[in-house]
Amino acid sequence: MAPPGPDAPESRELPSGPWRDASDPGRNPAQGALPSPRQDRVVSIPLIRLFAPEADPTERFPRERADLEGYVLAPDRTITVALTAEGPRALDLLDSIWNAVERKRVGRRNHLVLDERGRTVCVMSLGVEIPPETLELLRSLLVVPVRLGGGFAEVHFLASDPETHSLVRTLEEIGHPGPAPSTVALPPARETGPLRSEDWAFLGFLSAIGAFEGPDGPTPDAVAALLGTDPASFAAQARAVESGLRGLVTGMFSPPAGSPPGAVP
Amino acid sequence: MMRLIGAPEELPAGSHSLSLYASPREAADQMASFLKGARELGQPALVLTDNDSMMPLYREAVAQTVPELMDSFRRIPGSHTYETPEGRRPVPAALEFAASHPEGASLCGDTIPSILNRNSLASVLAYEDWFDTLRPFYHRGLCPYDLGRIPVERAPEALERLAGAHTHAVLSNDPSPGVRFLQLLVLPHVENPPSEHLGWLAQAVEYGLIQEEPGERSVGLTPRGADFARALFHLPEYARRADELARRRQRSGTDRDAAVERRTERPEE
Repeated sequence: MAPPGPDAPESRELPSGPWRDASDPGRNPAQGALPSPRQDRVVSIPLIRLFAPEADPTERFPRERADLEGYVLAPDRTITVALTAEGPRALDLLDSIWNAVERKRVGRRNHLVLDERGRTVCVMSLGVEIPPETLELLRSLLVVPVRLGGGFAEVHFLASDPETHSLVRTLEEIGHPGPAPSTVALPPARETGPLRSEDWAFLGFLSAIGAFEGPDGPTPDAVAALLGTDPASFAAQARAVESGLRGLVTGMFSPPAGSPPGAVP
Repeated sequence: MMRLIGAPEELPAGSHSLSLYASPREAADQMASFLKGARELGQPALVLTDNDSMMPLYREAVAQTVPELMDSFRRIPGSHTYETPEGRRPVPAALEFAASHPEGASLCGDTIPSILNRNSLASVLAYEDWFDTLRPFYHRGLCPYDLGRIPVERAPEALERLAGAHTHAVLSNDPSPGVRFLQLLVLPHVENPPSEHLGWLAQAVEYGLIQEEPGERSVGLTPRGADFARALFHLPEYARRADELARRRQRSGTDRDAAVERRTERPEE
């Protein structure tokens, strides 16, 4: 993936240069000191910050792309992610990403599963040393999928201005020093309902591994094993997400104002 | 552009129609309504089925609506369409029945949902395109589709293509949110979308679940929208199974602890 250019999501372009130097993306000067709303922030992060330059798998496979479709955080702070890839050497790219992760000594487990759509999904567990508070920030603001390719990760956040600044600091704390991330786009803000970012990430993970794909898909037992977590913890997360889903659905199918009493969505 | 109608009984002669259902019961009710329309038009009717489990439901629904058309059902094992070098085509029984009633007949086969999956979707859509080229005719054709069988990530394309290949559509009345959500993808392709549904569609766009696609009146699912649809259809059952599994593990853990405790206690007895 090339650094975002004309194909980037429609939005106004922000000042060029290091992202941290851009003056409060999304802030309306007329807002003064009012708290800024949460908006979609899209940043392009050079992967050189995560992988050693000579081993960045996305640079070695320029015709392939990988998508981080979802993730789950285990109680022991292990992060398990689901990565899909496309391109003629998609499997090699996934292999290569795992090798790069292992070189950084953060890889714990790696499974390849095939979902019903015929995609190979790499499920890898990572023991990443990230302070709990920054991890919490990422969990609450990161929007999946994250596309990896051509030496960059295109990362979406739903964040306010102060949160955005904290995220920049977080990203600077992860991985090796390298060029700062650059802002690529600022799409219109939108309401996302009662599901939190990590709920979406959980749904994305289950979707990616084919958990919702009929009777032959992974069972809750298999998913719990993939995640290296106990079924009770997995069940609790599934219940929490289901509850958020119900809230979102209720909002979306609410009868419009003026509907007769008793109109059930 | 396809026209929405309230029930299959309203389908006029000369129509090739799509009905979306979400449960076997709803499929049976739609079929009975379709036959009721045949009776009102004075058309002979044929329903091809290979599904033994559906027959009691059909019988029950038809008995309440049009008992005199109970013998319209003919059981033919296997799929009622088959691959030819030119593409998927209907079994001869359907074509022969139509040919023997040039003044118009009502025809339906219920096997497409049972063969519908990611691999067969393209050929099924091509079949519907081909079938629609047979119009104009005096017949009424009903094509029932189980919404839960349409692969979610292909649903926008599938529903748009199906809309392009049919004259009328009946939406599912199922109240479950997954069904209502997926049906929103049909709205841009019908000439008379209900205003309440358009409100839901606008809300889904605002939530970032459905997005406008390039092209006239076209919509698609965002990645979140696709996850959302799958989760609506399957997460409640998945969460139930996960809970059950956790309880089972907990019980077996408790049993194991109790056994260990008993073993530990024995020497002291």
